Amino acid sequence: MAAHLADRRGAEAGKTLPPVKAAEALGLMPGDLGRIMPLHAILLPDGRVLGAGPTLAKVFPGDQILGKPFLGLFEIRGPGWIGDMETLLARAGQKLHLSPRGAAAGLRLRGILAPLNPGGYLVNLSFGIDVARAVGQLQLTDRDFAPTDLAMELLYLAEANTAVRGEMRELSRRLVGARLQAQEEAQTDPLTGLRNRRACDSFLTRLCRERAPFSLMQIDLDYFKQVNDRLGHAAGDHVLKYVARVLTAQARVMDCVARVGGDEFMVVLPGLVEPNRLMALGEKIIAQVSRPIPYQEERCEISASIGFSIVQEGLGPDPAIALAEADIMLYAAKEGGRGRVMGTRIER
Amino acid sequence: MYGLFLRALQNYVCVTFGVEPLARALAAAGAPPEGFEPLLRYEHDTLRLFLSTVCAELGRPVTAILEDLGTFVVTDAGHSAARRLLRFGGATFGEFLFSLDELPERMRLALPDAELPLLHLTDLGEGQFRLICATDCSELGFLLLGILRAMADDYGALVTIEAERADDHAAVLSLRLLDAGFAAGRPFDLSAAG
Repeated sequence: MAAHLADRRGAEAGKTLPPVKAAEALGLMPGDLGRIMPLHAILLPDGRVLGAGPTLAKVFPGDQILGKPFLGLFEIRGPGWIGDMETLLARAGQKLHLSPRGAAAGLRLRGILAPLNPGGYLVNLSFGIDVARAVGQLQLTDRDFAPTDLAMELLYLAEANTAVRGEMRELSRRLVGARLQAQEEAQTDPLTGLRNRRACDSFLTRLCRERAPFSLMQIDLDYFKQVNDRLGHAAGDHVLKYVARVLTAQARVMDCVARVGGDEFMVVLPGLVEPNRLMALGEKIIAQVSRPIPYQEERCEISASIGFSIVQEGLGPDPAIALAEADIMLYAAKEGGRGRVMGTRIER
Repeated sequence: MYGLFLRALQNYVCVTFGVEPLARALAAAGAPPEGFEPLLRYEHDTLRLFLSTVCAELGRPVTAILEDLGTFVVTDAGHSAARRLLRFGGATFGEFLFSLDELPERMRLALPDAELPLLHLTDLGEGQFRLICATDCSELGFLLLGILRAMADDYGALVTIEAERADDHAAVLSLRLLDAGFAAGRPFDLSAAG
């Protein structure tokens, strides 16, 4: 009677086998071998399984493994070709790579075989890296592993890592969301560093609400599309940055200079309501912008059309009206042959 | 480490008392309205401040809040990872108790920069244990108390746990394991998918 069998199913089958006291031959008390090495097998000299640890029995659910040839239960994948007992025994003491046949095929175990003194062999196995799969597939519990096995730590680590990774994913998701929101709320045009449409609108709204005197200049580049088409978008970007520098240099610190569209700019000038000064400012901008702009080996030639509207103190119009009036002037300037400034005074 | 703690406290307030008290506590602590990031590091003072604003907001003493928080972390469905990771400590509540000594190292396996106070369990025999938590923040003992009570229920063990004493260096809990198999406990499947 193979008294070391911890598994009841295994113990019953043991009755058909000769009573070789393998565990006692090792000097162990019955049952202890299975607790120390739950994934072991004791093989008879001919390679049939005489005894097995309780967890090894679980690798073959519903099957009786006692009495079966070990090589029928496992495919030995290495080292080298192992297809019979002779080649298996030649690998005694080496690290074996095995896969169970049957229901749990696909699990990769590793093991080691050693001859026993009274005859026969001891094989001890481990799930290795497949421990998590084995636990899921065979529904193993803490009790299925030896107390000395690091399987619990490995499972713990895998799960802890999954939890941390989940938190990291959440963190990234929140950061991406925050960045999108920040972009949405941004006040700056990233290409030129000028203010953007949003910033310009709120600046304009504030001036109108305060009934402050101001003027509004709409600037549209001429021939910009040709630069883009002929020399590419990098050249176009270069031109836009140049125009931004011109506008910033011409504007005062209290003015709001913004890029409000592809090649559209807007300058809001608080307190500046003299038409002649605005005409002169507009012409100076056009003159500077119309100089050939060097780009690599090329020269970019553009110009600008400008329309402005003037809002006197105390008027406080709807900002949309100030914008619309400047727009009308801009289109009149374009119609009139481009490269010119036209303006109006909002009466009402 | 404080990030995880702050996030858990934030979730506890939100789930147990609602969004409004949480928003007020965060604002009172000068924290961003979206709260704390579990993987970021925060100053010890941030932790102290948020804890005290939560106490003021809820009108409850810090010890009661920490004990509740400990229980919340183990029982709340949103924190199932914490409960599962603690259950890896052992198959029984007794084994789990002995795994507490290893908890700081286990924690560091997952989060290398985590700093957890040292825990030391002494088996006094006949089901009596003493757990010493070496911390200069002695209120942490109550957090531990809440966690241990919830874990005892999780294992189905009948246990009495008391805060024995606390000083500037340590919080000491005394435990009496009356019946390890008192109730069925919650099932625990080693495989996360199961």
